[in-house]
Amino acid sequence: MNLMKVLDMIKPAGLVYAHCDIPCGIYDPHAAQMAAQTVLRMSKFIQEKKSDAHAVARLVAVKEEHAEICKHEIRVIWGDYFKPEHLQKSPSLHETVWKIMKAASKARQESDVASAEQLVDAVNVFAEMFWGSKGVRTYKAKPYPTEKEIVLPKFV
Amino acid sequence: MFVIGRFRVKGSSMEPLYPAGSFMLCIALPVRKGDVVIVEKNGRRMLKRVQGLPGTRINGKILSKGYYYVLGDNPDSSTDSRSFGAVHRKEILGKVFRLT
Repeated sequence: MNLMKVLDMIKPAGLVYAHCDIPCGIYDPHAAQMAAQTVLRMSKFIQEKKSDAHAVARLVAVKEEHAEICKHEIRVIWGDYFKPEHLQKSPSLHETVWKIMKAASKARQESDVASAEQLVDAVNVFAEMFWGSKGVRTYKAKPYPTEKEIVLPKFV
Repeated sequence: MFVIGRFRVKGSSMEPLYPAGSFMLCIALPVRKGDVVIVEKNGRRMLKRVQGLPGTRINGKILSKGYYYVLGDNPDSSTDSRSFGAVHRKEILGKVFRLT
């Protein structure tokens, strides 16, 4: 046992933090994008199953939950990851986040597909800003039955 | 010059020079650019490196008298002057010297 550890047992050293909340550095807008796509899918289902009260109740519940997940995920990346220096590259970051918050709330209040599509679009813009801040190129794909594009990172 | 105390690092924003778990001594000394210092902000003691001195220009702005711009060595895992702005000299406990 070294001297410092012995000293620490006698009189513990003060703690000095060398990190933010947790130094994970793990941020990814994909969870927000998945949630936005889910909101869109639920909105489409609701339009198709209008006469089935039970189905609509379930669909609305999932739509509500995922709109809130989307907002939460965006807020965390916006607040914890992005720094003022990123604004030079993405000057419309704050406005985009504001649009997402508004679009997600509207997607909760309503069930029209257009509102949900606006949410997906705004979250995709945010994802482009996020990956752009890391110097990672992006591409668009339509991997889900919503047939709405999602922005994905291109690492190779 | 006097010793402020012994401290142990928690977190990785100052690796590899000050890895998590390492011990250091904090001493009240004049602060120069490049020094690693302990900043006490909102009751939390943080390890940061001084990047800007009062009167010097950082990101197009001149630091006011008594204010220092501090950064973590690993920007991706550090909350520093980019987030909370420049810190006042009163918020800097002292310079650190690694013991282990």
